[in-house]
Amino acid sequence: MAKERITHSICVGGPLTIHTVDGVIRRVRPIVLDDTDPQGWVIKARGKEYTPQRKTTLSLLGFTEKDRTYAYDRVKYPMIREDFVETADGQNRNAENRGKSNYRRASWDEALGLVAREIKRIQGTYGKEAVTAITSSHHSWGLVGYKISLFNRFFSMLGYTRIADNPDSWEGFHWGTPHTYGYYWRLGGPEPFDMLHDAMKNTETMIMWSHDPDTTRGGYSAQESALWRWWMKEMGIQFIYIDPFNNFSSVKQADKWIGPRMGTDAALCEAIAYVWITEGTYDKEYIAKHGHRFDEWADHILGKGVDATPKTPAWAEEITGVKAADIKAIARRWASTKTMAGSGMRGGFGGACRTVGGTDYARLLVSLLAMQGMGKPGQNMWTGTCGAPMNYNFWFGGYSDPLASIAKSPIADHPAVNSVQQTLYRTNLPDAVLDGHYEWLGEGFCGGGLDFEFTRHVYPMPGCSEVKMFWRYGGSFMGTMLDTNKWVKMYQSPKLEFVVNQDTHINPEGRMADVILPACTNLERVDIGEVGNSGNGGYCSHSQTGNSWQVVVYQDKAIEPLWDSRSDFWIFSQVAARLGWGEEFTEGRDEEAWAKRFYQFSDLPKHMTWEEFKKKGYFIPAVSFKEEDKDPKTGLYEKWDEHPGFQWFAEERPCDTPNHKIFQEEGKLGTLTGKFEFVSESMLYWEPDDEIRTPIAQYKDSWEGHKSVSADKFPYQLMSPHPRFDYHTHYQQHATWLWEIPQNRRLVNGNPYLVARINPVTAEKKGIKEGDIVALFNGRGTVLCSAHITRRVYPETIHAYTSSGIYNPVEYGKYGSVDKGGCVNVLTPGRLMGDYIPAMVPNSCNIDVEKAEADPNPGQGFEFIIDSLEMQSKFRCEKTSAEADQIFGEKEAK
Amino acid sequence: MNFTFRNPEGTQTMTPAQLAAKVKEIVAACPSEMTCAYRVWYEGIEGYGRPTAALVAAIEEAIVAAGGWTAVGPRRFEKYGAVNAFTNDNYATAAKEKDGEPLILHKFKTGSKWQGPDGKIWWIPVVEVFDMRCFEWDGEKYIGEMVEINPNSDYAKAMVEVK
Repeated sequence: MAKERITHSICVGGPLTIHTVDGVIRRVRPIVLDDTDPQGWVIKARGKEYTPQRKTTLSLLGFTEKDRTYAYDRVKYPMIREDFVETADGQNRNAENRGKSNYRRASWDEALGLVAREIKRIQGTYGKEAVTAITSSHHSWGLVGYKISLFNRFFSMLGYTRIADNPDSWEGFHWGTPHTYGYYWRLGGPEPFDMLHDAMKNTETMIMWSHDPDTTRGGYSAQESALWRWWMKEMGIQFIYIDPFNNFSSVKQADKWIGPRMGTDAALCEAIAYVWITEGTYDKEYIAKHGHRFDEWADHILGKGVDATPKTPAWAEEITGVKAADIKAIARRWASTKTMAGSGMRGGFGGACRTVGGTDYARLLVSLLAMQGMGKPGQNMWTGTCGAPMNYNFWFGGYSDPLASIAKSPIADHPAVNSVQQTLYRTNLPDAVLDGHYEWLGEGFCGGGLDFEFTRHVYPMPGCSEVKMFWRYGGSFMGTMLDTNKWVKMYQSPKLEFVVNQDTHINPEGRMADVILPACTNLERVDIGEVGNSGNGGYCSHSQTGNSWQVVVYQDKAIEPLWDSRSDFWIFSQVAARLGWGEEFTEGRDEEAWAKRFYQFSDLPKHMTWEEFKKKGYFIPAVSFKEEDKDPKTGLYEKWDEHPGFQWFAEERPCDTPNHKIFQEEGKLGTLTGKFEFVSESMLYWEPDDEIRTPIAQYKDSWEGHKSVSADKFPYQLMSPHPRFDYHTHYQQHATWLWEIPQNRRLVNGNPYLVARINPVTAEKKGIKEGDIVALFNGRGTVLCSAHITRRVYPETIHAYTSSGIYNPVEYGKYGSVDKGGCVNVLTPGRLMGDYIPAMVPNSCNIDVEKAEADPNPGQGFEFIIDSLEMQSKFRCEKTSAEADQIFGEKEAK
Repeated sequence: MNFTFRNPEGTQTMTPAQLAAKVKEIVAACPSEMTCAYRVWYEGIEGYGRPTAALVAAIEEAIVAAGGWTAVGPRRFEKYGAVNAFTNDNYATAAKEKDGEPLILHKFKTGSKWQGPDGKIWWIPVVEVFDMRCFEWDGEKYIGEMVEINPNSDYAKAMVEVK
């Protein structure tokens, strides 16, 4: 009789319930709450009551977790590049063949021994800083086994050159809005707390700028917030979507869609301000109290500044392509109704901020919100994704909170501290490696202070070695960084003497490594994690996600690691042991013991024992634990301890929201003056000569855009927003059924071509028909896509989603080869936003398009994965269940 | 030498004595443990633009002259970077509240240690406006389980910082 086991886990698409039968995962589904779980919150608004469904939800991607676990492209065995030669001096290793060569299967002992020897050789020869490493964004989940903890502990104990992440999803807000309203510790983002309740009670208009919430959801969450937006729509709140692409949420929900030309959103903001100033429809009292140098900024808007150009709607129409009448209508609607507005999936994101003018747009959007009294009821920076009622008195250290890393005390008895000061910067890693010299500003994520944006770095640091070994952990930057052909060049440089790739799946960068270490997925190991409160990847504390329920999950092992894969904990422990500090690394704990430490250092023990937690698999805190908050008739919590974001400032009282600063208790913002700065004092203080991020935020023609020189050769603008069918390079390439969605990819000659959306006018001009293979190209590269002709984009814009996990060059391992995998970031500019702003700008990208031919070669360029499948039949791993093997045998036979 | 600058009230010209009087007024109202000339300039005077070196020097001189503040040399401020800092001599005994509302973060700092009325010493790894989580400290390391102490409770109010 079949034996079914039910376990739980978490992924970027929400918390999971997993059904395993006889050692094979049969089904993943959301968590359905039972009678022992708390009642949900109840929002009473406009004569109705709203409460969440008694279940969590899963995103489309979450439903692929089973496929992802058994995917054809799992790394199944330790592998070593066939023509890799372990030379004593690290030279003559055929580095130029990285990306071209095949691999041979190795034993764990051989692979780990090689890795340990190379670390010793390289650090012994060049110094500790000669080793560098970087994690993926979001390829796994858990407080023990993911990057925040395990990776950090291992490499800090080893000593290495850290590679700072750039805030690739919200560059303009990160580098911009701290200079207008502070919040650098929230990385430029707003306070979403209790905004759902506020909006449902008070808001009349939602402005969804550069935002497709049904696609991007709110970060690590599923579709719970789609219901909130449905409620709001049902109660008559008007939705205005502003996006060059009439996106999936917009076509479903918008009362009005406005499609500005790419990278011109700042001009639209200025024109809205012009209408308000000339018509006197902004909150003058609020601005007088909370604004700094507003009059000078208003003069600039009215044309009394140095450029002597009034920022009229007609002026903006010329730049943005949006009719002046529409601009006036938006401005008047916004000013005359209680309006929430924001950008992108969490209010401070969105493709518009990933343009050369991204900081101007972000700062101007905040300025507009200030002009309408940001923080007053129903008027805030919010986009309908985060901010459900929550119990703020329940403590569990989610990602990036204190007590959330095994590298730190008190989770570890002995914290790990990196002894190397030298750093690198992710966006320009290839430039630094290839050129041997790189300089930049900023600490990557600059949550530690405004000053962090302006720290000066030089690589290599004086007295330090260049890096010689690169350890890549999870995912592929080929799909998320820019001008990524140069990553191929970097990998093929002999300056990198040794490259390790540790991952669950064969990713494009995996094919560039000397040694590939197979990690298991988080369905094959034990961990602990949380979604709802601080689930945003360790970026900033209390960054709520779009969940109705906060869930803490015991991430139990659903199945044993497949094939020869092992948990990241096991892999790092084994390398540490070979380096002589294995015991210090583990402190004698296994994964479960580390997970229990997180349980112990939380409020969870007050509610259930460790054994109860393990047995049930999850815990959901009630929005209130106070009996007096419960309605005696319904048993529902109809009130809870509310801390609405930013209302403290509007109401001039000490800040009472989570994750705040000392000066907020004094009623001040994080700007130098503590007020909304319409002329940025921090820019005048730190970099007054910055020509991109000027003290007064304003529209500027982009160095790559519709008016730049390159527009003559490449007249179309590529829009590559966060994807609907991937999560940064994860999921899509593992779950091939996603390729059957015609809005996503189309199979031609066996290759899943990414859909590119093209306006009919452009298509006619170029002779392109629906379904044709087209080449998107510019001076940086060429990508073959499948054309979808649609009026959802204007003629100048071509839309193709970013973050392709498939990089599938026609000539493998050749720098600059035409890509047929849909990796459009081989087209995007590698140039940083400005000399003083280390931000990437994928949506400032000029291209051309022509009809093309499909590559005749079948398959997805994964030939060596197929080889490994063949090998699988010869080298059955004892740990692989017979049934799983059978599944793969069938797949192989096809 | 007089100082001419702009702030919301327009172009201002102050004598050193007038500036010192203004600075004294500003720092007297400052509830923080630490300040600097730039903070006085931006938050107090609401000056426009980065102050000149002479103006910074005059403000620093005025902070010391105001009394109750001690120059401690360069310290890092998140907004201004490393600049000359001044610590509030009366901070330990000052009331940590504003308009009757407690200023939790002004009182309890992450990583600080406090002794309760029962003699127990607590290490505070987490403090937010509602969540304060502590471990008992045995002199060298934390011991036992994580404990929640309400920062507004009588127990917390009776706690004394251990340096």
